[in-house]
Amino acid sequence: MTAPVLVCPFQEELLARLSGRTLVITIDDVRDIPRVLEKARLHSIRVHCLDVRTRLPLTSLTVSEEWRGAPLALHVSELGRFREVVRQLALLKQLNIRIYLPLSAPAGSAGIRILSSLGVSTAVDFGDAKPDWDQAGDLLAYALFGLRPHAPIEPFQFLISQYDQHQETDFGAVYFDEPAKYPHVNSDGRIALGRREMAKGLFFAESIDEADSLLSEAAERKKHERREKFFLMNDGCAYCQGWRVCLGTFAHTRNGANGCARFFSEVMDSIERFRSLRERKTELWQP
Amino acid sequence: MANVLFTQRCVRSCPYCFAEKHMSESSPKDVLTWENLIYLADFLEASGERRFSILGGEPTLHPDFTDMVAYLLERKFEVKVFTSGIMADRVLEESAMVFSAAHPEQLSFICNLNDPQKTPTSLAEVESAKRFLGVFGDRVVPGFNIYRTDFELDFLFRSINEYGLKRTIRIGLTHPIPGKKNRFISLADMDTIIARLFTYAPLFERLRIKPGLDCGFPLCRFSDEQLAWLYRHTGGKYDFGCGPVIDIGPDLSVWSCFPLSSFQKKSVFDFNSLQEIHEFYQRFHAIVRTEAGGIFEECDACVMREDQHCRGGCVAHSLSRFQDEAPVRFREVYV
Repeated sequence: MTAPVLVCPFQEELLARLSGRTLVITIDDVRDIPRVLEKARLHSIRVHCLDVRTRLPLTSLTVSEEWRGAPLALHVSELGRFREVVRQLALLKQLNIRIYLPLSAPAGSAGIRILSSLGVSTAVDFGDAKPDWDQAGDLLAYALFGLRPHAPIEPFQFLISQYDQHQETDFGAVYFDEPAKYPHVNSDGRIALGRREMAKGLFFAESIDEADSLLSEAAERKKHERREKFFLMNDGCAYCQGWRVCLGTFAHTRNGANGCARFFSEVMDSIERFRSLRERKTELWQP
Repeated sequence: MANVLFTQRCVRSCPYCFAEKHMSESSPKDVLTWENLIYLADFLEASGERRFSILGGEPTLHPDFTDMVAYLLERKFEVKVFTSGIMADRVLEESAMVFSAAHPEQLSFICNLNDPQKTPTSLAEVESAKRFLGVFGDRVVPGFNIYRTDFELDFLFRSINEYGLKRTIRIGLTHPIPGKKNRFISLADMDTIIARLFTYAPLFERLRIKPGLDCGFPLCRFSDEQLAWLYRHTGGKYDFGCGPVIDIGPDLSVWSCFPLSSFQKKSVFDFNSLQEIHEFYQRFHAIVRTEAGGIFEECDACVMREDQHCRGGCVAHSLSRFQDEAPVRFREVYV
C-alpha cells in the first residue's frame, strides 16, 4: 500500500514535525507560495501539491515565475475579465497548475472552458450549495466530446481514467478529499479522514504515528458507514444509478427533480461512450 | 469563411439594411455567449478555417466584445470585425489598449460608412465613428453600400487620407430582402450606378486606392473598358459572384447570407463542418438558379454564367420576384 499523503495547513512547526513526509500544504494567499516551498525544502518535505484556496478572482492574482516547479491547485472565486487573464496566460501554461473554478461563479462554466481551450488545466469546484446540473452537464459534454483538443477538466479526466462500471469510483481525490489517500492533519497534529471531519472535530488519530496504523481501518469504516447511511435508510440515493460515482456526496442537494442523479448517470454513460469511441479507432499497422 | 453575429442590436437604422428582417425576427437581448463562442472557435478550427469574421448588429455593443476578440486572437484566428465605428468611448479605449499588440494582419476592421450628406446621421454618431477611425485607422478597410443612384464616394477618399485607412474601398451593392421593403438598387438602375462608379476611376487611380467589389455585381453590365480598368487596378482581384457567405447567429442558427435569412435556416449543430454548411447552401443556391439562371432574362443563356465567370447577380432578386408569383416553383424558394 502506498503511504498516504497528509493534507495540512502551513505552519512551520507542523512542517518540522512532518519532516520527510509527502504533504499537500494548504494556504490561502498566493504570496506565501515561495515561502512555503522554501520551508518545505528546509524540512525535507516532499510537496505533493500546494492547495491554494484564495477567495479572489484569477485576474487579481499575480502569477509569478517563482511558482515554477511547484505543483499547484489554485482555487479562485472566478476568472475575471479575459483581457486581464491573457496577460498571464503564457506563464500559466508553463506552470504545473490546475485552476479550480466554482460552477456558481459568474460565467463559471465559461471560465473553465476558456482556460481549458487555451491549454490550462482546470477543475470544477461544485461548491456546497446545489450546483447547476445543466451547466455541469454541458461542461461534461465539452470535456469529453469537445471538437478540438483542450487541457483536461477535472473531475471528468480523473473519471475517464479511473471509472469502472463494476465498482465505485471516488473522485474526491481531485479535491484531496479521499480518506484512504489524503488524511487531514490539523495544527495540533491530530488526524481526520477529510476536510468535513476536521471541521467537525472528528479525529481518528491523535498523532501522525498513530494515524499510520489506524488509517486503512478508519477509511474502510467510513466507507461502510457511508453505505449504511444511505442503504439502510429508505433513501433516494440507495436507488440512484449515479451512486457508483457520486457516493452520496451531493445527497444534500437533492430535490424533487433529482438533478444530481441525472447528471451522474450522464457522467457514466458519457464515459462509456467516450471509451467506445476511442476503442473504435483503428490502430494503423506498423512495419 | 463564416460571419458570426455577436449581437442582434444596431446603433444605426440604414434604409438599405440587409439584416433588418433577421433583426426584426430576433430578440435584441440575444448576444453570443462564451460557450457558443468557444464552440464556434472549435468548430471553425476543426473545419480548417483560421478566419473569424465578427458581425452584428453592431458587434461592439456586446458587453464582452473586447474580451471575446482577445480570446480569438489568443486562439490565433485572423479576426475581421464589421462595424459602424460608432461605439462608446469606454469600448474604444478598452479596445485600443487590448488590441494594440495584435498584428494588423491578424485583426482588421471593415467599417461601413454612410455618406453623412445623403444618409443623415446624428453629429454624435459621426464624431464617434471619427474617433474610431482615428484610433484604428491603419487596420480599417472602409466600406460603402450603394443604395441610391446619386451616391458619392468623395467623403470616403477624404477619410482614407485623413485617417490613414487601408487603401481599398469595399463597395457593396444593396439587394432586396424577400418579404421586406428595404431600399436597394433595382435591376433597371444597375447600368446607372456602374456608370457613376466609374466616374470615380480617375480619383481611384490618382490616390492609388483600389475598389473592392462585393457580391452580386453582374458582369454583363460592365463594358470591356471598365473590366480592363478593374483588372489593371485590382490586379484581377474581383469576381462577379453570389454564393453562400454563411452567417451564424448568437444562438448558433445559420443561414446563407442576410438577404436570404428567411430561407433554409438551420443550426450549426446540424452540421459536422463548415464545408458541410457551404455545400448545403450551395445546393439551395443551385435550386434557385434552376428556377432562374440570374437576375436578368438573358442570364439563362449566358455563356459567362455557364463558364462561371459570373453568377448572374444576387439570388435575392430572383427570390424576391418569386414571392409575388403563383407558387409553382420548388417549394424551397418560398419564404
